Formats: sequence, structure tokens, C-alpha cells
Amino acid sequence: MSTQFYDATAPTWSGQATATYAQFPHGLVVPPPEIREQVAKQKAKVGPNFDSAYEELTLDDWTLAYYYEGIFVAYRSVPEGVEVLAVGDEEVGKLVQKVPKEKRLGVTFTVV
Amino acid sequence: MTGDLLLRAKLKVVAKSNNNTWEDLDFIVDPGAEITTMPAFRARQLDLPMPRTAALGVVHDPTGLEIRSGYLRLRVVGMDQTEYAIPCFFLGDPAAAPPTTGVPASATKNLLGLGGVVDKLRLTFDGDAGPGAAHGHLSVEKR
Repeated sequence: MSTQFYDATAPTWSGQATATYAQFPHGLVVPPPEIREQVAKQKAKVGPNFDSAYEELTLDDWTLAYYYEGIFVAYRSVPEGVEVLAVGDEEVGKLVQKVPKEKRLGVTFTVV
Repeated sequence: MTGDLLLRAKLKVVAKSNNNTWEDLDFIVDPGAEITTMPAFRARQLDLPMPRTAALGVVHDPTGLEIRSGYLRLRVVGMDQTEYAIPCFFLGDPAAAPPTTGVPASATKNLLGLGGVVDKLRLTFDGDAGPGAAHGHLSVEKR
């Protein structure tokens, strides 16, 4: 069975802990410096298999975890980071109801 | 941050909605889970088909959430267009958002379990690194 560990110092569980989902970052979210630093460390440790595609994937994944850990979000990858279109199940539901599928291509729904 | 590397394997799928749209979702592949689960409220938000009534007497441990035993119709992103119907327990009340804290991960995440999956898809975990997969692979093959 899946287990979960939270970083209590990440915004999701500290500064944002009492925030409503509407107060979480929406739109373009760029990787914070500490995430870039951790990814760079991993890249240096792992070597050539940590290629640019994997680096982008990791930056996106860890950036989402930094801000939205444990939350259901709708997002898509963009060159600068991730574009977050909805945070929490209710916002995701509204997105699905109001925005036709052809206008949300590339959007993934995920629990971070 | 502890600096430790935590690994998880996510499978990207598209799931068929009541409107016949295909919604992009991902599931954590969880070999410790007996069956696939996702919150019923989330399935409703995505307009995924699920039973109207909960199973009698069966609840999710340890939350006590009610269960709707249904199927997800999905395709695996990156594979052919085969549509799989996999059994899924939809957890909780479809009309009530799940609590955001104090709930085990098993109640809030989308987990791909073994039942009704491993007879259709061969899932192989491999820690060998390769280009684009610095910490290993989850290989998915059609059976």
C-alpha cells in the first residue's frame, strides 16, 4: 500500500497550510531555487542518463510537489516550468465542465 | 528536505468519461494494492462513469469510506489504442470533497492495484538507469 511522506517546510504544509485552494499558485509556476539546486545535485550524481528530458520531468515533478503535495491539480508542462490550471478536485471539476476538451489538450490531472 | 531520493512509478493513462472524452490522468502503480482505487468525488468531477450505489457492508480500511465497485475504461498513453476495462473501487461519497488532511494516502491518491490489471498488462519495475530514465523504468507491456 502506498505510503506518503511530507516535507513540512514546503509551502504546501507550512505557509499555505491554512490557505484555500484558490490561494495556491495558479498559472505559470517556475521551479524555486532550492528545487533547481536539488535537481542539479541529482544530475551531477547520476551522470549522462539524467538527460535534458529527464531534467525537465524532474523539475516539473518536484516543483509540483513543492507547492501542491497531496493535492489534485490540473497542469501542463511549459518551457518555463508548469502551468497550473486548477488546484483541488472542485476546481478541476469546474475546468472539465467549462473548458472543452480541445481547449485543454496536454493538460494532465494528477495527485501530486 | 532530507536529501534522500524517493521513487514512485506513475502510469499515464486516458480515461473515458460519460461524454466519451478521454481525460489525461496518472496513477501511482502500487503492487501493494489489491485493486485500483480513486476518490469517488474526483471521478465525479472528471465525469467518469461509476455505480450510483455503494457496496453494502464493504468499507475502506482504515478510513471507513464507502466503496463503489465499478470499472475504469482507459488506454495507456504511449501504447496502442486498446481500451482496457479495469476494476476500480471509487472511495467515499461522490458528492463530498475528500478531506485534505488526516487522511491516508491510499484514500486520496489514484492507485493502480493488481486486481484486473496484471492479467491485461505486464508491469515490470527495473532499477537499471537509461537515457531519460535516470533512476530506472516501469515497463508496461500488453499481455
